[in-house]
Amino acid sequence: MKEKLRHYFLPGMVGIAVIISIILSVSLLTNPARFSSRSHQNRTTDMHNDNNTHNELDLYAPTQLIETTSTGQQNLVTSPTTNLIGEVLRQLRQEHFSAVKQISTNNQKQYQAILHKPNTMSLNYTNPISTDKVAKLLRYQDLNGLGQVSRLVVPIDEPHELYLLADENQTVYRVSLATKQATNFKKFLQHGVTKNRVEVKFMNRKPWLFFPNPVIMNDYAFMLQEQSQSSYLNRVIGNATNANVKHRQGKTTYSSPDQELTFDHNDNVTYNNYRPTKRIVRQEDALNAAYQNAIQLGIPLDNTKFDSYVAKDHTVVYRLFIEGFPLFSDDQLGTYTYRYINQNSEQYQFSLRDFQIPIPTDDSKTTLPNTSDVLATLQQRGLSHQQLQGMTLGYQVVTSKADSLVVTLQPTWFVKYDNQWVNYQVAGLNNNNGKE
Amino acid sequence: MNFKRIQEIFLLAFIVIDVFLYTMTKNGNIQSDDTNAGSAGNTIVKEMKRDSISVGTLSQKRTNGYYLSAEVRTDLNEHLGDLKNQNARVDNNTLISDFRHSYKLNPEHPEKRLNELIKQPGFVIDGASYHYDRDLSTATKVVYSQLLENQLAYSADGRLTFNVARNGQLTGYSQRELAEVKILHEKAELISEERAVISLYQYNEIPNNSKILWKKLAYSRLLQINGKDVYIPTWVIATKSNATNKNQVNRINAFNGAAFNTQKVNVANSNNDENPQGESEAK
Repeated sequence: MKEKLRHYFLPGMVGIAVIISIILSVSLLTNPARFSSRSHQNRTTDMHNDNNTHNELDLYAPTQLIETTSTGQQNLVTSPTTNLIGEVLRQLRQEHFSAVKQISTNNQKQYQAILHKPNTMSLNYTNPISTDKVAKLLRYQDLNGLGQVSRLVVPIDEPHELYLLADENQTVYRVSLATKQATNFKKFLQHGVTKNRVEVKFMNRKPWLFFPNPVIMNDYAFMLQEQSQSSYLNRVIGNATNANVKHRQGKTTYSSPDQELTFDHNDNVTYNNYRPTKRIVRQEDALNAAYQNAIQLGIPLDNTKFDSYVAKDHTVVYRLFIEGFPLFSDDQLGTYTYRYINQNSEQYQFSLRDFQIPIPTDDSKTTLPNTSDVLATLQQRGLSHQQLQGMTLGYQVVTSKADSLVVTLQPTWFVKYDNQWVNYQVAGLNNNNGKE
Repeated sequence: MNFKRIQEIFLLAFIVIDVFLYTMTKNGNIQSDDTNAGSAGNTIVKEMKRDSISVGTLSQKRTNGYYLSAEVRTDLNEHLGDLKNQNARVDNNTLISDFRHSYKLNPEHPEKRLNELIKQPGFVIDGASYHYDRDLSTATKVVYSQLLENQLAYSADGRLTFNVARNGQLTGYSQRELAEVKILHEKAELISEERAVISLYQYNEIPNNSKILWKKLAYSRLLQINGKDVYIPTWVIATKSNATNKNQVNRINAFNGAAFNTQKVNVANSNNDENPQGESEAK
């Protein structure tokens, strides 16, 4: 018996060892931990993307909110404490959209009717934008490739549809909502907001915003933050010892074979890249490139919005907005400009300084004249309204003499003529170039 | 006999293979822990645990906050007449008061009675704008912090400190209040509690072998300019080193996760700076 056991002992042990090795091999092969490092990487990129998407959504959101009440009265709605448009869009992103249809084109009557539709709000862009970006904003892919639009008109009370409006050819698209969530935007438009009466009128074949009454705007002041030249040098050129340095007329240029970074004494930065990674053909290409490059350069984009686009050289301008009003300064401060010159060159202009901390202003407010008074003043200076390409309320950046890092933002009117935005206080006066 | 030799060699070889495979699965398991944990943040939290830092549970919830402006209230002395049962005086905008008849408090839960008292007219000025702050309170001092936009302030300028004698008798208090609180800019999303603790760890401000005692979102003074203060939401994190037995309070800017330091950004007319470490004692 003992002999028999001894006889089977060795093969038995071998058998057990083989079974154990099979079990261990199977468990190893099926264990997800084998892929741990790869999936881990994916996750971190996802997180990164989340942050970026959030920024990009903010950046390519409309800047102005006009409500049309049930009686047809129109108001510009602003809030010093809430990002109203951000809240409305967040709510809309929860909806499901079922269809998009062009309902009219080159039809001013229909266009006006939608612009004045009672119980709606109109979310406006300062410049027409590719519907690809609106598709991202609303999370509705079917909007891709429709062209450019300037406004989203959204019913305030339980919307079943919304409209995309293109000023250029007066085209209206209707977007149907599939779900009937009882979304109500009334509360956004009631608490802690400022309302200014406006009239949307057509002038120079474009809808213009007329303020029949004087407008009261909040003053703001900010502390700026200045980034060092070397931080951009390191990010762009990398090892600065390889760079060729030139000083000329108060400007310092660092260049490597395919890149060039220029700083002037006003903290303006110009970056030329002689090896663009992507070819820019359409507006959305330029918008994507501008954004990607801003992220790569490490430009802070808080409170910054898409402001304008020029198709000729694919210029994209981002601008700082406060309460939905644009900021204008004498230099690059508060703006970021991307320009795709050709296949061999693209350029970015920005400032070393950015707006960091809002500071108290003794609660001061500024009263500005109504639209017709401004137009009359400009007329007296020989600027007729036919010459005007645009008109907006905004903030002029005024630097303090005592501290170069403290600026006040002065509310004022800006008019656009000769392709330039100019403070109305100096517009049309001969003895200056339009800048304060 | 030859066959037996072969069997022996087989057995040995498979034992070696088994040991090798077993160690492989062991390593794999450690890795899988990391993956299952879910996020890069969690990996760092794990790393903190390896450094013997006990963090407790960390929330990933994100809320909103404002840039606020405020001034120290200077007219407290005009309201001394409203106070009952106490001898009060104002010194350098701080109201200091002793009760004529003391109140008995529950030593375990002094806030139970104080929450009621504070609402009664004549007990303190503006009691409703303060909220019990367990983390800053000790056996002899019960701290109520002022609420700014529904969030506690972490500042000696917005604080009611009640003095409690050893026998649980409430003897008096000191009070400073922030006035003219205004929102400077539209609300912005804040970083989560987890992100804040990770930032603090990455700034090397949490020593190894230590414990996080408490963490909270509270408004802190960022800078003083033209006699007004700018407050921002901060994550206030108290840690205790097991080695030195010392408590430490640090703050993280809740807008961007940067290290928070009031003095760094003072620009003009700054005086009486807060001392983040000395300002309060952790429990």
